[in-house]
Amino acid sequence: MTFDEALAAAEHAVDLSGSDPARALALARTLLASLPASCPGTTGPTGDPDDGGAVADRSPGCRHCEAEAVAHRALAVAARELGDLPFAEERLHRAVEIALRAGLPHRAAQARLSLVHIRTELGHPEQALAIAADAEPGLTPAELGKLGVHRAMALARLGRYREAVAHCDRAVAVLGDDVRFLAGAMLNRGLARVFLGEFEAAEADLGRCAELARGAGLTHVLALAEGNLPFLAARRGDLPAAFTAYRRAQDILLDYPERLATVRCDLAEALVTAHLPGEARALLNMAVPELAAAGAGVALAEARLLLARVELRTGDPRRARESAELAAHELAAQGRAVLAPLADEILLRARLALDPSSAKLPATVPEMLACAEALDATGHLNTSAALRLSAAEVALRLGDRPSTDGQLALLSRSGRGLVARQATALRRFLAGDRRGAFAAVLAGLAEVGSETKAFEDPMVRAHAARAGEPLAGFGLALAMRTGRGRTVLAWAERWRAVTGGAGRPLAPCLAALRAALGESALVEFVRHEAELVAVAVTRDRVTLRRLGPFATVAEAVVRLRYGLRRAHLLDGRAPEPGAEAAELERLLFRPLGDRLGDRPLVIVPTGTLHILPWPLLPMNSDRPVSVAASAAAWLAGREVPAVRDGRVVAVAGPGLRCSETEARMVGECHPGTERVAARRAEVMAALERADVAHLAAHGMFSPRSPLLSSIDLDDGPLMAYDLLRLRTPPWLVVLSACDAGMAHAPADGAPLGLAGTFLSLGTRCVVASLVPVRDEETLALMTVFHRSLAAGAPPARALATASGKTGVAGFVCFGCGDQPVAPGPGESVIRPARDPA
Amino acid sequence: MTRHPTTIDDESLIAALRLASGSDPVPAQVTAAARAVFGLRLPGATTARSVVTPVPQGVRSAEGPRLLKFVAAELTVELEVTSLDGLVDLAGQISPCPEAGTLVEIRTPHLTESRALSPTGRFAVTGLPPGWFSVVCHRPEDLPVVTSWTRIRP
Repeated sequence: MTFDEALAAAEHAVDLSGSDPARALALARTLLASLPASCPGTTGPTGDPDDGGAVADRSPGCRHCEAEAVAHRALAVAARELGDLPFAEERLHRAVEIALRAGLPHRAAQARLSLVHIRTELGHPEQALAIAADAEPGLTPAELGKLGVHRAMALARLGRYREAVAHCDRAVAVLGDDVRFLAGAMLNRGLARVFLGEFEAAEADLGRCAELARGAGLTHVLALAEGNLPFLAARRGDLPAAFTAYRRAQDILLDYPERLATVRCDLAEALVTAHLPGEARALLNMAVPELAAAGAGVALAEARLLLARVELRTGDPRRARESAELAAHELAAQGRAVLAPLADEILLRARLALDPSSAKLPATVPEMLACAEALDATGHLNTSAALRLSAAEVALRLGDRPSTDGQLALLSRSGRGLVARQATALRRFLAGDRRGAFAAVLAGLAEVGSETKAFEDPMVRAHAARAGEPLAGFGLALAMRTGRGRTVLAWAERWRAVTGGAGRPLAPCLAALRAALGESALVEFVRHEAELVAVAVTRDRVTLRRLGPFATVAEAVVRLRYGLRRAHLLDGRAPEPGAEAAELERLLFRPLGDRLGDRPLVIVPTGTLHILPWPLLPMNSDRPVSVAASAAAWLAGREVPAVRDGRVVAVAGPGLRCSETEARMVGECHPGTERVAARRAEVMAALERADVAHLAAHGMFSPRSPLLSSIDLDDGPLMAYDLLRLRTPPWLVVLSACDAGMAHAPADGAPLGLAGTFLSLGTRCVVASLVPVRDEETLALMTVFHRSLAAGAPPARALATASGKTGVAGFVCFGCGDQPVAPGPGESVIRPARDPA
Repeated sequence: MTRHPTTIDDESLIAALRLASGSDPVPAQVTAAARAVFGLRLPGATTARSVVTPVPQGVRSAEGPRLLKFVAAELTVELEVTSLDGLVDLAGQISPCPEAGTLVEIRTPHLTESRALSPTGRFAVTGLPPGWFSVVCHRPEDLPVVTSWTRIRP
């Protein structure tokens, strides 16, 4: 091979590295191996003087050196695509060195051009910009366009998104038909625009990038464009789309671990913003080792910082401290002073969490304030405000009123969002102005309510509302100090109104609630810091009781559910969950004494209590029990217009021995019942026109994404997300399936899942199970239930009767279960459906 | 079946000799990790080994839960893992139901939670960090039984 041929091959390897990095890498390696070990011109003064070529090759433009320099660059670019950043950097330095020695300034500038990108990724965006300035004079106009693309990335890493967009704009103008870099420019511009909140433009850029990459066969650039879609969707607040896009990106980017890790980090960041720290933590735990292995310094330090934050938020201060220490170390080494105070903030909070009563506490307050100063100086104003509030609270505990008052005054003057509201409330409370304190909390909750109301997805809404949780907690603490049940109930209800999407933090009118309750009693459970509290409302009084640590109750619920699941899932040989149920009854209801008697119950749960099968408690063995998201939601259920024409539909899902029999049984209990094929379109249409819907099928609860919970039909799962399209949902829905009543409540007042979705759409009552249920037993239970319903019993009563007679446990009546579907024996309003023909 | 002593291949033997001769120093974090693991050891305890749990039948569920089972000669430890928001809840059953006064310890590398058993032999812990864990059953009259270390993913 001549040197010219070698140079051409090296250039080809550079081009190839975009579409097929593995082959480009192999080609460049072969090429380097085939070149003579050293250039004749580099043998130095002792080289053979007869070799006429030596003088010529040492002159500017040595073809051997040029081919070698380009081949090293090809190795680097290909290695970068495959995720080996340190190797890429080493090769580029070698390329620069060879080019400079051989007097090839243009080749040196080209290698530096690539180095800009690598230094950015390795954690040195400032240096990358300096290298870009060095390279600039030696580049052609088209190459300046490429440089602009790389510069944009460094600028974006430094938070200079506007400049990044401007560089990409200029690059697009000069890149001509260099598809690879055009796609890169679109990618970087799109990303910068996501950060700038220009989502439409960002989507257009990423779409154009994907189109270019697809056309040119640049599969991994295409993957990158697709890989940024979850980030875009999550930043927009569209979490379902973010997860869908992420799953696709995961498949596409399987061969590019470092790129996949970056996608995971981006999504994790958006998930933190959406108050989903657990999800973010799972992604980061996968991403961090990959980034460390790839030597991707910048991304690694940021990922660790984010990991530290989510570890702290998910209650793991020990790991948070470890991660924050590593992040602080890496950020310092990278000279990234802008992010350093964020690591310090986490370290301080981890210390407080690990040792809340430390003797060092008095010294911690000045440290917190110093850190807040540093955060202010680096532009992290929200983090700083939250830290100042925490410092004020610690100072208050220590009796250091001057520090407390100073910080609270500063914060309430700043007017920055919810922290300012809380500071104002605390300040007023300390000054003896309780009414004023409540007013400040209410104003803050109203802000949260109006912001979150805009989200259509209940999951996004509930998570967004969590920003108001500390404030709501403060309001509740103030209410607890009054010692009045009605005040505690009102503040618990205000928060539930916000999380449930009502918009305004309104509490229901107590008189109206009592009137609606009649002979029933409502018990609302509320968490006050680590403690569980109950408010019981009957026609004649409101009772407030503290029930002790919530963790004790949560563990008892987990034990009871475990026993029940074992019994249902395995062989039924496990001991009955009776002991655990009795224990829970003691913890939850004994402090209320005999206030409840044998009244029908409406229960408003909190936290883990959302997944407690209440009818299982001994005191409820023959009692109608309804479970509601809030007192207001229960009241609203009573407003649901009465049954239309009594149309009943029954669906038998696939893969179950008894579902067919069960659907027939429903038809026998309610003459005129319409059998609906177990296909999604048919079932959705039937749900629109039915008053009572019975679905016997396999069920699946998705705890991480509760609106992906589903009922199995012939043509696939019917998900809670599908149900959101319903306009006129049935009056009563019976989900005769496993786990269909399960919910995850990211915040009180927003239990998310299949049952919760029906209720939020206007269904009055849902009967569903909180545990896996056995096929035959369910048929037995449902037979008694429907007979009782047809005889005029309200759903909650019918369920109590059926559970009592069959001994089948696990089903719960959600919503408003106290109104009969049929008015009484013999005069059922459940009438034959009109003939669809 | 005859039990053979564990054989060691030449490569591993040479590696071990090189380590022993000190020519390849053991990295500091390996020693630290080894010490930490040694600290978690429980002298005299019987180890309950993990066994496969059967897939549930005749249930209206499309997906199985995370059930684990550990068996020692005289004791079975069954566990169910649920995770939410990045933390893990652990529920379990010791069978046959041990005598009163039996304590269960749920150990992770950083923290240990202790629970008295319910009358039916059940226990639960909520809010554990994901990662490695092991359950120890301390009986008043007997040596402790400890499950092999298992990793919980969130």
